[in-house]
Amino acid sequence: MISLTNEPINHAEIVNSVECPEAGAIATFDGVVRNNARGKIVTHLFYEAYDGMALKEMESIAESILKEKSILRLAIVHRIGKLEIGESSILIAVSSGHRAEAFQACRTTIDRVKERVPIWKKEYYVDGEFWVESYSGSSVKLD
Amino acid sequence: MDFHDTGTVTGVFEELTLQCPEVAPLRSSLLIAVNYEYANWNTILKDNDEVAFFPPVSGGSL
Repeated sequence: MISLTNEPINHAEIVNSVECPEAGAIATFDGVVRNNARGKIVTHLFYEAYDGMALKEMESIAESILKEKSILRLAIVHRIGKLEIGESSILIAVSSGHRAEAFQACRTTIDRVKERVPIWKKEYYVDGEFWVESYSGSSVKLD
Repeated sequence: MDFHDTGTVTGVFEELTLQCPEVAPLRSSLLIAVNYEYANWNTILKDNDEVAFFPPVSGGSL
């Protein structure tokens, strides 16, 4: 399951989508909205995506992780729009025969999503707002 | 947008800056996509290609 959604993330449905009889482990990464950033109190976030490309990049990341790692199934769901503190912005679920592969693939997946998928977030504070413009460690190279 | 001289991504950006001069200073930090795939300033374009310029993606530190 690879998708973008405007609705609250349904954790159970996503985890169920990677279950299979061969799996001995399912690892998940749940990215949640934190109440602080840059020393300020965050009231909520807004995520915006370049939709078609974001989905395509997520599919391509999933495809490459499935090829590279000994895992069985992989799901990535990213929420866009307005999110409140404590809500999930992304859920990644990975199933594999044993735990090490699931943990590792989950980590690699979130790292690549953050580097490559065209989704931006705006932080809202009590006294202002800020588009988060760069992610240090981005590996996208144009030339 | 229709562009007259659309040999490369650079050409499109130059034409864009004529219409929106405020985007010019952003050039060095922009990422480029052509038809939903990462591209670069020298990518050659054909009719109906979709070109996107956007800031670095910002998952931020979760």
